[in-house]
Amino acid sequence: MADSYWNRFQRRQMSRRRMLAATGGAGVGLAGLTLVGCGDDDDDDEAAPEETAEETGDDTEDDDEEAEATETPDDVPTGGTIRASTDVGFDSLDPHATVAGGLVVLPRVYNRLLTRAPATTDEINYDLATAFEQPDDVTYVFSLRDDVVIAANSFGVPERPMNVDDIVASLDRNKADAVLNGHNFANVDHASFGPAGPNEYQAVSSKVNAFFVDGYQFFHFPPIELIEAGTLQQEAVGGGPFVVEDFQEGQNVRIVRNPTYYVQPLPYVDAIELTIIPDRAARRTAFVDNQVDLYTPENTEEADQLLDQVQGINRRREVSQATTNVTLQVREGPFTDERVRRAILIGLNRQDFINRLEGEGNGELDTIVWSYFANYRLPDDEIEELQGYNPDEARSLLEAAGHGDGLSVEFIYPTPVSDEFVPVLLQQMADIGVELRETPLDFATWLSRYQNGEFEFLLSPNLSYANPISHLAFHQTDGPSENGNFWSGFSNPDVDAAIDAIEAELNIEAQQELFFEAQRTILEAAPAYIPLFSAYTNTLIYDYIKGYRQGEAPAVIWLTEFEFYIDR
Amino acid sequence: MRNYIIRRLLASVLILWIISVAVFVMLRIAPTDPAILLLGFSATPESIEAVHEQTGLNDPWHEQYFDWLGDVLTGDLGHSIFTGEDVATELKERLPATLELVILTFATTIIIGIPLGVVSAVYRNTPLDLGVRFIAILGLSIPTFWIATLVLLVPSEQWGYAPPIGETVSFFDDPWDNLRQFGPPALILGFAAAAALMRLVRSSLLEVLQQDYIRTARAKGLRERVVVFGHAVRNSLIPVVTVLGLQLAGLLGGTVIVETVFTIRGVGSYILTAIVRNDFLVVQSVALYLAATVVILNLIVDLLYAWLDPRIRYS
Repeated sequence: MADSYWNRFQRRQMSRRRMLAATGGAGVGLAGLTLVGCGDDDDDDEAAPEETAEETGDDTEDDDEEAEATETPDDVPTGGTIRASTDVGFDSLDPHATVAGGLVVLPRVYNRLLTRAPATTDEINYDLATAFEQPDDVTYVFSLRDDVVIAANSFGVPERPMNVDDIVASLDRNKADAVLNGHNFANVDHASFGPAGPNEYQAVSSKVNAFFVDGYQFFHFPPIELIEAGTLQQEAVGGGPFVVEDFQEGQNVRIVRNPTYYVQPLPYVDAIELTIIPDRAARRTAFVDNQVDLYTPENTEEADQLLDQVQGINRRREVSQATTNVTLQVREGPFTDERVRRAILIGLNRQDFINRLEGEGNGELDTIVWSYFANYRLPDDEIEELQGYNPDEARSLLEAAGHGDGLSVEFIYPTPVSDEFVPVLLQQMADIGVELRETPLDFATWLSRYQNGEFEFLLSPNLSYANPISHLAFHQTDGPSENGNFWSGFSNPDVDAAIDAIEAELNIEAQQELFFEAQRTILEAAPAYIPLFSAYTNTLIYDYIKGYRQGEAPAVIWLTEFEFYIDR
Repeated sequence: MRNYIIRRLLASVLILWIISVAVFVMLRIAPTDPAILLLGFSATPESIEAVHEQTGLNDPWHEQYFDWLGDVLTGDLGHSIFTGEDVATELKERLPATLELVILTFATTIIIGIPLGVVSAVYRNTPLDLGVRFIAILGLSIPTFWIATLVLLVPSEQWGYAPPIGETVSFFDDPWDNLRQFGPPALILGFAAAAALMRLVRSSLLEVLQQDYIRTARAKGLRERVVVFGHAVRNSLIPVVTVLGLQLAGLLGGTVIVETVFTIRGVGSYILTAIVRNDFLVVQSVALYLAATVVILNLIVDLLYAWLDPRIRYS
């Protein structure tokens, strides 16, 4: 369940991201198997930037994948079913309301205007749009494709080309209903939207926002007929590569090849089955027994063990897009004192977490921008200088702040959290004289207290966001959603200005430098939101699934990738 | 007897009403706002308010309760606030799987529990008795979720065998795969329930074996098998009926964990999911439904008990 909320939040944040290139080549993306991430487990299944993948992956596997990538469509075997599993269900086929597993399936059924490889900033994959232009800083005009035809269906939706009316209907729907995922995007981020010509769509941002267009990569467009019928929850058909054949809420979904998909001969496989298996042991058993094709082990140790045990599988090893964070309450209490916050910042031994929880070499230290976005993360030497582990200095800071006899705060976290994680944190904090009074909470209660700022010291595990600006948003006044929700109370005008400057910067190199500058500013201000480390994620896949590449974007959610095929 | 049944029925209605109020109040006083769970990190005060309005959470408690109760009494169990699914429809879809699991478990319980209890009593204080009692303690003390995990993992890792995982297989579609899927969880639940049953059978039978009429039967020269099975066992099973009834009712709740582990789409996994995400209408309706089932089963057991034991009937 937790994943769904991260995903929702992630999409909210994504609206802030901007598309740097104003136009680009048409066509779907080249990157690989979306199921690597979607299929098995958590958000952190997702692939990493290429450079990270090369660094951590298996060279032989990389070579194999490159060879596969050069195959021409004629050489590619077609047919077969890819079977994936997930521990999170999805409860609706409504692309504007679904969360979690729905985000895995629905991008393959519906179309979006465009998508972008989230770990990079310059690759755009167009879908319903063929290009867009920006006549001014806030206006975006999209040229639309005219050959995206709605698949044959039994819902009474005609097999016609998707058009601008479908897009506007979706925006209208989200604008009108506060409960829908895209409400803020349609209602707050847009000044206006509507047709701009016979086959053009225009969106106007409510302010200069370098990340505005990014919101569209999470916005799916069902046919207007389904919106008007009010049946989106149970009926799904669009112009995407697959069609929903069977959906049983809480159990499984099966999507089959759309024979009229506009990019032929894609997709190569006949079907994808996504089965919800909540229990980890059952997921593992299903993989070992070859009832599913993919599995994400709990850690590298389990992955190593399965590689020895199961024949005919290979591993994708990537730095996780998720991290675990500590958040301090800054509205009142001891963490209003910058020295106390800094003591926590440098009293956390990130390497110790990695060594004890993941095994040495199986994770990377995090800072304000996490390791996944290596191009935006501060260099190691600066990280060491600004937040390096220094328990002596931490104790001195606490003493200077009047806590020489120790500090005791309530520590809340959602269960289940790794049994090993909390003791390490407790010990590290005890070492610098901070007593954490444990209050484990069920997820719902924890979320509620987090949202309302009812905490002193909070742990939020497995957060996963798709771009670096989302990471910075936790440090801005009013919090990541800019409405006071999930806000630590941290407010610093210099930090706000640094984040605003990034959003207004259109040049990619200049923007990257602004990211570095903002992180320095945040670290110097002693942040209240402290990322810890990113573990490596292992995904095990049977050898007969081919046609995907490692490191080419976490295609799970935001890319319509489906060039994988089965070759037994 | 008729008065007894009427009294019990009236008491059952009262019990169900108390349960419905208790569940309703507990869900409302829980600190969790389902709107926040529904909206997650994208929640805004505006969207939370919209969910409250759409789901009736803004109404006074008594209005919410009586609206829901009125719907339930007319057969409308409400809709999930997360999926929009009709609770009655969902129950109808999931009930066969849970019923099959309960029936198989119940059969396992009886098949294991009663014979072992009899053996344990007849061979009292022998190694056989000690062995049976050890098994009983094992069954009572091992957590179901742990043994369920072992039952999944060990055959898979050691012998390459696994039951079908994922989609729930209907008996009518594929009887063999259905039994492969339902057999292990039924055995696990049945083993735990049988452990309690065999201890009860043992103590009950030991008590009966001390009775005068058993001594008389032996004095008459009846064979021991006839004494035990013809006189003692039958009488010792009267209190067992009550326990079996309670166990049957308890199994409805006991399926929650194994349904989740073995990916069986039943009522147990349904209410577990609803509780986790505070889907209050689903929890209220399913809890009431399960409570009604338990109350009815208890009533049947009590009537059966009265029918089996004339002393109770006459009193």
